[in-house]
Amino acid sequence: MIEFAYSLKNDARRAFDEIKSKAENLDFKPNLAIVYLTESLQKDAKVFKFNFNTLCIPVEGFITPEGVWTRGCLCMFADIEYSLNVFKGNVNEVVEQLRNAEKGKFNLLVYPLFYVESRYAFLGKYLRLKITSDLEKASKIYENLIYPMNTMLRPFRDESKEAVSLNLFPIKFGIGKPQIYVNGERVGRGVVHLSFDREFVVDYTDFLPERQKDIEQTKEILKKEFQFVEEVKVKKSRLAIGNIGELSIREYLRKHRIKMREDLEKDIEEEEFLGATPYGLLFFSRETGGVAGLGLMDYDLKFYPSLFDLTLFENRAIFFGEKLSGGISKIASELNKKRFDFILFDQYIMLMFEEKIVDLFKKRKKYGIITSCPSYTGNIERKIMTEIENKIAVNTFLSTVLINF
Amino acid sequence: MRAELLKIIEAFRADDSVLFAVVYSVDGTVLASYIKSREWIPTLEWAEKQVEVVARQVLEENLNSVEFRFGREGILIKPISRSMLLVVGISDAASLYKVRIDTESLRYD
Repeated sequence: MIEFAYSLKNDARRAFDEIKSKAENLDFKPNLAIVYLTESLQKDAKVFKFNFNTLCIPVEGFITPEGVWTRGCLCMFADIEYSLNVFKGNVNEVVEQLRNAEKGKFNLLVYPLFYVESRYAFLGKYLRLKITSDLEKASKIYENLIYPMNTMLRPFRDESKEAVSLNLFPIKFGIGKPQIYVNGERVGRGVVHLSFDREFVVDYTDFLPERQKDIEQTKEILKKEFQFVEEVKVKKSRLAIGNIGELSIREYLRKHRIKMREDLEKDIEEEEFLGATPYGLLFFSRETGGVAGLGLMDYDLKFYPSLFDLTLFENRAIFFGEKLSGGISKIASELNKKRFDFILFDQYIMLMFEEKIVDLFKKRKKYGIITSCPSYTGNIERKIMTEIENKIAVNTFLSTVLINF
Repeated sequence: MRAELLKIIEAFRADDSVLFAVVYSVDGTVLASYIKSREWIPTLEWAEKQVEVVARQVLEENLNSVEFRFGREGILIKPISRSMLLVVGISDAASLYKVRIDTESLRYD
């Protein structure tokens, strides 16, 4: 049994009391609550604690039959067979723990995609990145900050288990953000694994046409979807990019007259870091011919981080500008073809189209969250553009997951 | 100067969600322009009328930008120097925050 309750209050105690009173009137006794908190409530997440397992996840907004909201919280109550585990460590350690973990028929992973625990930790890693001149070493430093989206799903794909990842990356990024809470306790840099003993019907979409067998043909299709700027040679390692066509990322963006932000340290400290950019690189997978985009910001970094493991990708990528051919109507048309009870909707679509997304959900009468880059492993029957490894679909924008209970 | 302005306009030509991009001087004179197709001429003419009204306000009151939003299209008016305004028309395929970043990047001062 699954039911939803929500509150639009911006005071944590009052919001919790409101959803708690709704929990008391449910037709079943829940044994799990997943509370999706918008920004105003995230600092007081510890308040949200029921007398059964409570997982608090920060989101940019949520969807209800009455509208789309960026304040308050949405709570999913469930009476369901599940297990909840928290794994800590760097990416290799966490993946090893996930390999050994008991997996359900359906699995939900929740973790910060990029996480810096403290100002001290940030400065330490920032300085190490400045000092090093080795791309592999830079990648190792990023392994202590990033849980790469594709790597995290491999333990599930390898056992043919279905899994959805919430790769949390807030639009307003800062030190100690995003913060996940389990039963009122901070998780910090760690992975929450919810394993369910039942199947859900899950559909992943990237709102893009299907990929072709030949990468050159796929490029032709993508030219119509995005603003294609040029094909470039990228010097990269697993999680770090050294340069684009021998230029640093900043130099390269400046060459194209793109100027966004100046001072990384200041932006991180003052929480002015905007975790979004409309320019990026499209990488082509050698394994599937699929594509994943990585946004580029113009901070002065010697080595630029990748949010997914780049090992399997070609050294040539496409520098692109964000737009979506067909606009919001294309998203509406695709959603109209699908059935779902709950949607994990990409937050960057909200940035692209702003208030127009409200209309997308007005007549649907469904629930959902607006979050960052949900990724998926499971049955993928179509030639999904962003299937970058066999049965693993990942992208840093547009990706959306639809779940039927 | 004109070559520099044409470069600004050229950047928008590559993005087919941009319907037109025009640089005006504060007195309403067109300094450089790109228009995707003739069908957008009436919209541009409408925008020109607004420029006359908005230019003084934007520059005197130091407004960052002015946006007009219609059902499917949008128009962004932004000063790029103390004496020039950039007017960009966009379709519903455009990424709104991309257009804002693109136009912000073009400021002269």
